[in-house]
Amino acid sequence: MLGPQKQSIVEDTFSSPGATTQGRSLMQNAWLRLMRNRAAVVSLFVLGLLILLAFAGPYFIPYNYEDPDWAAFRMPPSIESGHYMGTDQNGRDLFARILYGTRVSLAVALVATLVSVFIGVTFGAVAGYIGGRVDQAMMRFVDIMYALPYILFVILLMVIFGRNVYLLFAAIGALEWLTMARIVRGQTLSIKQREYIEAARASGQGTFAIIFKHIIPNLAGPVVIYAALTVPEIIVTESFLSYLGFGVQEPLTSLGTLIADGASVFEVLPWLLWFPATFLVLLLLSLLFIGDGLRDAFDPKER
Amino acid sequence: MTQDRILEIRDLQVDFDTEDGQVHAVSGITCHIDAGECLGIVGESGSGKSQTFLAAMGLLSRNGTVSGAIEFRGQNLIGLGIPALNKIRGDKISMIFQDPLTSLTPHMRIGHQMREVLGAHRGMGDRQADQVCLDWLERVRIPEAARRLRQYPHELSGGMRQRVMIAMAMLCDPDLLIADEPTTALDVTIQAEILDIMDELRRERGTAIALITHDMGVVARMCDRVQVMRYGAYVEAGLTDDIFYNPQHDYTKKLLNAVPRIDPEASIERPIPKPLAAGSKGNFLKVDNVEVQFKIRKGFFARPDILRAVDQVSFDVNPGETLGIVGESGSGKSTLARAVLQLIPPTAGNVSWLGTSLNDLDQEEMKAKRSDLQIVFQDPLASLDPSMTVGASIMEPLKVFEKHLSKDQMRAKVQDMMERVGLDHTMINRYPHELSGGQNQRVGIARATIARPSLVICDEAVSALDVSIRAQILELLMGLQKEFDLSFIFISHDLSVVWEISHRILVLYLGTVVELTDSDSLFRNPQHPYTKQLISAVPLPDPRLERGRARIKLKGELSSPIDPRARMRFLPSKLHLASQGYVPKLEERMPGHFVAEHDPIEELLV
Repeated sequence: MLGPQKQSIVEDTFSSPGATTQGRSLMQNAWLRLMRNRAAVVSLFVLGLLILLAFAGPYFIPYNYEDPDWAAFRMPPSIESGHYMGTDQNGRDLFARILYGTRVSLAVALVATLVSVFIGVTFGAVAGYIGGRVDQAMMRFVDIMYALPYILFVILLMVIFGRNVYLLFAAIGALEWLTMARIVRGQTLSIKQREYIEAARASGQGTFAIIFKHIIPNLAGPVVIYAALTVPEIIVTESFLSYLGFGVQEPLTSLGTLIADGASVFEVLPWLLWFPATFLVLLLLSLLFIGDGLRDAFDPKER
Repeated sequence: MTQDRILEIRDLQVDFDTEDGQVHAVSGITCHIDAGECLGIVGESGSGKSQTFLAAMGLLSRNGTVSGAIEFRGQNLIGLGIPALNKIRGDKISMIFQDPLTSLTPHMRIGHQMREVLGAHRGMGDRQADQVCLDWLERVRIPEAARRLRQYPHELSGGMRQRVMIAMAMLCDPDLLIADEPTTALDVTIQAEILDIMDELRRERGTAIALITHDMGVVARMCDRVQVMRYGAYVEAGLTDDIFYNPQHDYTKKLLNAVPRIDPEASIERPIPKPLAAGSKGNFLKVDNVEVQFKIRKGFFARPDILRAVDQVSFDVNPGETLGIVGESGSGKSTLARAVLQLIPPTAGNVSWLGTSLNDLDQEEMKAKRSDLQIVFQDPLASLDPSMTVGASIMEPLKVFEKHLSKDQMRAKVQDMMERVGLDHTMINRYPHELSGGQNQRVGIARATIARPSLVICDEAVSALDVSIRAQILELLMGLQKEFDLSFIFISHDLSVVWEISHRILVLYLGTVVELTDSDSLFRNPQHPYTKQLISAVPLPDPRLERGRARIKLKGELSSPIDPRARMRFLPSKLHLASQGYVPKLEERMPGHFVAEHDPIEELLV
C-alpha cells in the first residue's frame, strides 16, 4: 500500500459501462491470500478432516467410548477385531475414545475462545476508545486479574463449577480474554487516531455507534489471528489440566486425559499414548499453521 | 562547465513481480548527468522517478529486476556485487531521502552516524572524523554544530535533520548527489533554505545533483535540465527554459497548467459570495478569541507545561465565502479547525454559529448542528473506514441526519451525489483501497456535502494529491460552492493553493493571527514580515522570474510553541512582556486588513 504522500496515478475520471461493480473488501482479499498459502490450505483440509471424523466418525464404528468389550482387554491395534487402535485396560475401544476426546477438546476450545473474544473485544474497544480515567480503571482491573496465579484460579473455579466441564472452560475463556483485551485496546488506540473516526464524530455519530460500526469491524484482522492462536493454546491448557486431574473426569474423556492415561502405561501398552498424541499434534499443528497463514494474509507486508 | 560525464543511464528497465502480476515501473529510460549539473526528474507519484535512481544505487526491493545499463564514470553498476557497490554508495554517489526523521537511525547520536560513513569509506579515526563532520555541519549552517554532534535525531527539528542528511551525504565529497523529494516534507521557509544550501554545494564543489520532485516551482529554481516522466517513461526532456516556456508534450502542458501560481495581477475566477443582507454581518460563523491549550506533562511531580496551540484567534466567515488559513507546521491550523467544530473543546473563547454559541451546547444539541458543519481531511485513504464500501461511507450522514428517508431514497441520493463529485455511480460498492487518492478524496467530499451543510472545513484537503488531480479537486470544490452556496474554511500550508481558492486569507504563526485580509491585497501588499517571508519563499514555476527573485530571510527559526518568547520573534522590542503571556495585538491598517504589531522589517532581516 502507498503512504499518504504518494497516491496512485490512476486517471481520476474513468467510467465503466454497465452494472454496478462489486468491490472486494479487505476481508475478501485476506481470504484470497490465505487460499494461496499452501501450508494453510493443507492445514485447513486436515482440520476439516479431523472435525468431520470427530463428529461423524462415531456413527460408523461399532464401539462406544464408554462400554467395555469383554472379549478384548489391553488388545493391541488390529484390523480383524475392529479395534483399529486397540483397547485400553478396561476393554474400551481407543479409536472411539479418541474421536470422543477430540470432540470434547475442540468444543472446549471453541467455547473458551468465543467467550474470550466476546469479552476481550468489547472490553478492549470500550477502554481504548473512551480513554482517560475509564481506560485507566479498566486496564488496572485487567492487570489485577493478570496478577492472580492461573492454577489457583482454576482450582477455585473447580470448587465453584464442580463437574460441569463446559462451564469450567467457559470460565477459562473468561480468564483468557485478558490478553485479547490488551491487544484490542492497543489497536483501538491507533485506530482512534485515524481520520475516519474523526470524520464519524464530525458527522454526529454517538460513542457506541462509532465503537461498534467503525472500530470493531476494523479490528477483525488482529482478532481473527489471535483467536486462531488461542484455540490451540486452550487445547493445550485443557490437556494440561486434565493431565493434572482437574479437567474432564471419567468416563468422559479428552485428548489430554487420554494422553495422561497412556503415559502411565507407555512401557507396556505404547499405543495408548501414540494414537492420542498423534491426534493432538495434528490438531495443534494445523491450527497453528492456519493462524500463521491468517497473520500473513491480513498483513502481507510483515512477512 | 566541464563536459565531465558522471552518470549515464541507457535503456533502463525496472520490473516488479507482485501478487497481481508483473508491474513495469520503468520502461526504457535513457539519460545522463554531467559534473556540476542539476537534472530535474519531474513526474507524479507512480511515474517511476524514484525507482530509476534506487536502481542506480542498488536499493531496489527484492522483487524487482533491472535490465539496461547504468554507468557511473564508465563503470556499469548493474549486476555489481554488494561489496563493490558499497565502495561507491555513500562515497561517490550519495542520496537524500524525503523523510528526514525516518532516514536517520533513531538510537544513534548524529556524530556517531556521520563518523560511521567516514570510517567505512575513508578509514578515518574518530577524532579526525569529528573535525570533518563539524566542518560540514557548519557548512550547511547548523547553529551550535559541536553540540549537535552529541544529540539524537529526535532532538532536532525537521529542517535541521534534513540539513544533517545533506551534510552526511556530502561527507565524502561525492560526484553525484541524488535527492529524492528532499523538501517535500518541509515547510516553505525551510525548503527555501535547504534548496539554497544544495545550490551552493553544486556551485562550489561541482557536485552533480539529480533532483527528483513533483514540484515545478522547485525545478524552476534549481535545475539546468528537466526530464518529465510518466508511466515509467520520459515524455519530454530538455533545458529548463525550453520545458517551461515552450512545452511540446500535452502532458507537460497539463502539468504546468495544473500548478497554481501566485500572481496577484492575474484575475482568478472564484465564485462570488452572495451580498450580505443588511445587519446580518457576523451572524454566520463567528470565532471570538478562541484559545486551545494542551498540558504537557514533564514528570510526576513537575508542573505541566502549557502548550498554547491556538491563542486568542478571532475571525468570522460569511455565507458563500472561502476563508483560507495558512501556516507552517505547528502553527495550530488544524487544531483551530477542530476547535471550530468542537471536536477539540476550546479552552477559552467562543464559537458562534448563526447567533448561537456552540460552546454551551450539550452533546445532543451539538449533534444536530453537525449537519451544518462538515470537514474534509488531508489523507483521503485514512479518512474513509476501510471496512465500509464507499457508498456506505457517503450514506453515513444521511443515516444520522435524515432518518426519515427510506433505504432506496438514500441510495438514490448517494448515487446522485457520486455523479455530482465526478465518480461513476457504478462504484458504489467499491472499497476505499480499490480507488485512487483523487477518487477517495471525491468520496470524502461527497460524504461532507451530502447532508447539504452550510460550512465545510477543508483541512489540507488537497495536500496529499498530485498536482493534476489537485487542480481537479479544487475545481470541484469551487463548483460545489457555487451550486450549494457553501462556505469553506480552507486550511493549507501551501500558499499557492490557498491563494487560488480563497476570498480572504488568515496567516497563522504559532497559534496567533499574523495577518488577515482579502487574498489579492495579501499577495499584492503584504504587511507583516512573516507574510512577506512566506510569500518570497514559495518557488514560482517560472525559471526566469524565480532565479531573479530575492528571498527575505528573517532572524530566528520557527521554534517551539511552548516557549512564550517564540511568538515575539517579530516584536523583539517587547520581548520583556513575553513571560506575562503577551500576544502581539492585531491592528486594522486598512479597512478589512488586519496586521499583528511587529517591529520594522529592517531590524528583523538577517
